[in-house]
Amino acid sequence: MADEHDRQGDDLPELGRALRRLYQPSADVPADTDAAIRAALRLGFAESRRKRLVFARRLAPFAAVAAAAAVVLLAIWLATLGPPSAPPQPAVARTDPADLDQNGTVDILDAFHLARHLEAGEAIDAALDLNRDGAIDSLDVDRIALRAVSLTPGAG
Amino acid sequence: MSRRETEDPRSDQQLIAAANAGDEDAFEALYERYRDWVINLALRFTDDRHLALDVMQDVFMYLAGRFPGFELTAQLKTFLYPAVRHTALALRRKHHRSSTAFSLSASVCVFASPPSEDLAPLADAMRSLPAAQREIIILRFADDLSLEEIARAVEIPLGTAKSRLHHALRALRADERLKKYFDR
Repeated sequence: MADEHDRQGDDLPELGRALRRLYQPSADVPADTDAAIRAALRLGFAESRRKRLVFARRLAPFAAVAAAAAVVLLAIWLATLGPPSAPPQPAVARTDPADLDQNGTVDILDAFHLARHLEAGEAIDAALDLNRDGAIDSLDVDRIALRAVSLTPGAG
Repeated sequence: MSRRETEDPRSDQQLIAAANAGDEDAFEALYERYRDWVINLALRFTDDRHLALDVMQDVFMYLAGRFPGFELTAQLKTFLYPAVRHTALALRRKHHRSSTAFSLSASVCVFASPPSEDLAPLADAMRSLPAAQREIIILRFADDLSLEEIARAVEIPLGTAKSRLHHALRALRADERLKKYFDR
């Protein structure tokens, strides 16, 4: 059964050809619509590039300060820790709630997923109230987006 | 801005690298390469040509917003598929809010064009599959994604993708009308 489950249907060329015919792209985009979309995309592409570069430039000094502050805070916290009173517990893998697609990275796609869930009015894990203001809303989406473009991993 | 006659020979990875460096033409080449696939996919989910065009534009605008800094770790289709799916279902839900509720089972059964006579039995069998299994079959055979890529695109565990493909193929194989596709 395991072997059968692992087969990907490569041995069914006739079925593949028929399904490709059945679902092959046929939706022509009208030329004027296509031209309008291309123009919008060029603007969107240029605007995204401009915003990201400006954002990264503005964020860079803060990221360095935040990293330094994090190191100082970590050092203070470690200094205040007493000797362990109990044997250390085995580490438990914990998923970052912001990593919605669970691909191991918090990226802009996670912000997109949360935005879509919000837009659809679907039930959302309370752990996604990332700014802890009692509501899961666009501010939490922004927070994930900020993390995605942050120069400091885990920032935001 | 007019349509190009020839396809850019660069690979997706090369086009993405160029787009990350600010090359608008490289991004437009990606649009040209995936435009028909995206709109066809959007049609599968929306069954509405105008909505599909909206989905297509939204998805490519979303992709444009990922540059610079976009990293491709698998086929671009595995990145685009969930974006198209979420956008299409959200738009469709918005448009159908006042009518009866719909679910994914009503989607993913729209054909690019009316099936020809010889494909009618297969089309009929595809319609009768559970939506989740039908989705895997289309991705595997029509969109040519591997099981690993399908799992990633549909956001399900690999084992679930394998199981759905297995059950879907078993159901199709059991249909006497489709015997010719399974004869070797």
